[in-house]
Amino acid sequence: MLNVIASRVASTCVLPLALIVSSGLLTPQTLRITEPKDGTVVNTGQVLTVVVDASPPFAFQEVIIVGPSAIGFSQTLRSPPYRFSLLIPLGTRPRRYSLFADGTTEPGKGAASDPVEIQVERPDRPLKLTAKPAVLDFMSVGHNDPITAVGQFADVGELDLRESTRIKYVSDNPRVAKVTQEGLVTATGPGSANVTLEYNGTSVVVPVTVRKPPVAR
Amino acid sequence: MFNCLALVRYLANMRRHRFRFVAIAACLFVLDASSNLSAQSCTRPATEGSDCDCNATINPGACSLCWNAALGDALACAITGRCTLADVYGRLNQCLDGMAATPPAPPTPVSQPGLCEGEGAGACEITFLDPVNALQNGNAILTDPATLATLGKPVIAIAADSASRVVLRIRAGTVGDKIDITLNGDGSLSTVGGTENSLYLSQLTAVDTGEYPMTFAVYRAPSNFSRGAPSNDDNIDQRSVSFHVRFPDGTTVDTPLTILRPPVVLVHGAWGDESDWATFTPLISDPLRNFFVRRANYNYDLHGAITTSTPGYTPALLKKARGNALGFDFAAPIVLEEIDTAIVEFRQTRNAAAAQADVIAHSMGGTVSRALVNLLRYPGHDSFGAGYIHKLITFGTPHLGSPLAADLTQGNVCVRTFFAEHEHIALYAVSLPGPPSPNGCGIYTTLWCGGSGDLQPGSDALGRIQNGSGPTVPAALIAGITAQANVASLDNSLSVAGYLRSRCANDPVAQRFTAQGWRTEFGEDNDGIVSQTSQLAGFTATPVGLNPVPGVIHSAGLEGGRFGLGFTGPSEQASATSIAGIQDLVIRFLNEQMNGADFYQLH
Repeated sequence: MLNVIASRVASTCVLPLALIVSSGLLTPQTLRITEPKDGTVVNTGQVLTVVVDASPPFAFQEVIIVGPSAIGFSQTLRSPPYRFSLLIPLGTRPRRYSLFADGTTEPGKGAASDPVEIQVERPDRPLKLTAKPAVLDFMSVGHNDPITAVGQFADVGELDLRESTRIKYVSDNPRVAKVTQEGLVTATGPGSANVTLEYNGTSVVVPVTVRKPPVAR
Repeated sequence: MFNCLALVRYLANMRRHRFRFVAIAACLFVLDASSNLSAQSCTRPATEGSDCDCNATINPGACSLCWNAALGDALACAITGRCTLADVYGRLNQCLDGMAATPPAPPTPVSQPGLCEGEGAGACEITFLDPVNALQNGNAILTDPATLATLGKPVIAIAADSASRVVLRIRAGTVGDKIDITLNGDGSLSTVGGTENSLYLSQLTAVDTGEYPMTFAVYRAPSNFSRGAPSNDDNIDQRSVSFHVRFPDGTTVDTPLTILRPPVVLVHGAWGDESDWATFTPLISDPLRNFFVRRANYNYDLHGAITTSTPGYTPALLKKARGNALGFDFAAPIVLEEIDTAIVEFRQTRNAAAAQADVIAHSMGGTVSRALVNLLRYPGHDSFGAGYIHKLITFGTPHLGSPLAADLTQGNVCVRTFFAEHEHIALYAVSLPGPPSPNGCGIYTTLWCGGSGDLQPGSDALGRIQNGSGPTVPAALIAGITAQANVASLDNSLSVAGYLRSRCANDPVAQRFTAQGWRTEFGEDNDGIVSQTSQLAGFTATPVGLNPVPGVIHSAGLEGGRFGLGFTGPSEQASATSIAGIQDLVIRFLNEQMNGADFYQLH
């Protein structure tokens, strides 16, 4: 008996619901960034095109691209096609940044896209590349310390380069000091080594010393 | 090329060889000559003992000075064995890498005829030594003559920070000689281990040091670089004092010591990084005063380390949170380390003694800089226990918090989410892997406070600053305030402010985001983020007529158009061509006496 009642209720409700959904009234209103792709590398000074797919296409009153403060916002567009131009400012620090598309469907309501990540890089060489610290002196094996690369640029002065994908770290003596691609130096044995930081054709050397453990008497 | 430094070490080990200093000097001379420093190209030592690889064209005069100082280090290293050759080569490399900043001209001793000429080279020699580490026992300077005679780094300058010291090492003719020293200039003299604060020391006795008879004194740096009118110190980058030394036979020697401006460290605010200072001219490119400027940065990638937060965010947003969204407990140790690093770099590249830096901080950078004073490590030995900040100058800093911090963590979910997409993630408290926060965050005793938690008016973190356990710091506070022209654009429906009013129609803070409504957020003049009262920590704005600075907004991120939220610039950190007031005040305060009328003693 209960099954019969349930099936009648279902048949009564499902048809109007299907009609509402097909009309778009209950279709989820979504935004999706289709361009650029995740991981796209963009140089500072470059104009980036951002394309957004809205579903349903005319559900949004306004759509805007939201970047981090270094990049900022796009203009708002009030109808498709949602194609935006974003200038990546010259002074932007090299690293990964997220872009979101955000839209308003009606006052107080709206949706945001999943983020797309871009990697911003500078195309030029720094006037000078320095390492912080300039020298590493480990008191024993197993200790580690990070090295930070800092570039001096003509337009913006100092920029932290640790999150650039173009910074490379190489140890000339991994038996004494090994270094990760994130710049973490670990003392692996007593002696001396040089860790070289390279960035866009410039380099700086960090001398590393690892002391011998004291001899037990 | 023979292995010169190894030879130096060998000779140094011959403790009693009477000619070893001559041999060492000759060896270093050969090394110096081989590096061709007088030519246009400077040189870099590739490996220990090798000849040099000429590949960089740099200031030959500056290079020579720096190189000579580095060779002095090498000599000290070889004699004492208390450093490694890697240290020496690091020093030489820094010397060559640091040529952009030209070290000051070397002091030129002026000798009068008498004992100094008659006793051969080296007699009456006066050397200035940086005592940090090598000549210290805790905060005090060692008194052992043999140590003072052989250790310490020779320098040619000292920063006018009131904390720095140099040891004067004076060679005499005979043990027991009585020597007088007169300081011509500011700062003060004392005997080693003494507490005098004098311009004159009389009858210092030369003692046996194991080599030459010597006597020692300590010079403490002046508190201020600029001595005010009628001097022209406000517009120069170095000046000097001199030491008039009188020996028993009437011979006198006058030796100048260069006085430099302390290094300057810039500290950014919440959600910012070091690139925020790119337009902060003329400070960062001042040709007259030649400031030594470094930028602290606590905008670290946390690699998604935050697992939970209050208020909550989606995982996709939370993993965007960076170090610059966290609170004082996270940022203060990082900034302290960066200030220390800048001072060390200053000492190396300027060949100077220095213990403190002038800190210029924007927004939350000001409260972070005050918080670091309470860290146990702050009064370190290398600052002689005085701490690393000489003067603190803040602008746009919420010393008493900001109502926005509360608004963004309580309710207003739509605006908060939109800000998070903009990488402005408002965090009250977060969990981080590793040890718990040293102070907790309100009721969350093991969590770390976010920046928005610490900046709530009346927060525990602000209370800890105001009732600080650390030493006080002379602080000058600058306020920026908006004018009508800065906020009128908020009413534009096409601005981001207009978008937010529609998108977040149910959020009270979004509805206040208008030219008229935004003032009600603060109830008084403000820079768009912080009230005037909070920027001034409740004190009166001085100098009258210049502070607060009108017509500015808090940061470039608020500006309208493509970049920001709909305000109209210039921002407090904009270039001097846009807004001169704040930068003029910063330079004025850098030149002002640390006990001047515009400075408050703040924790």
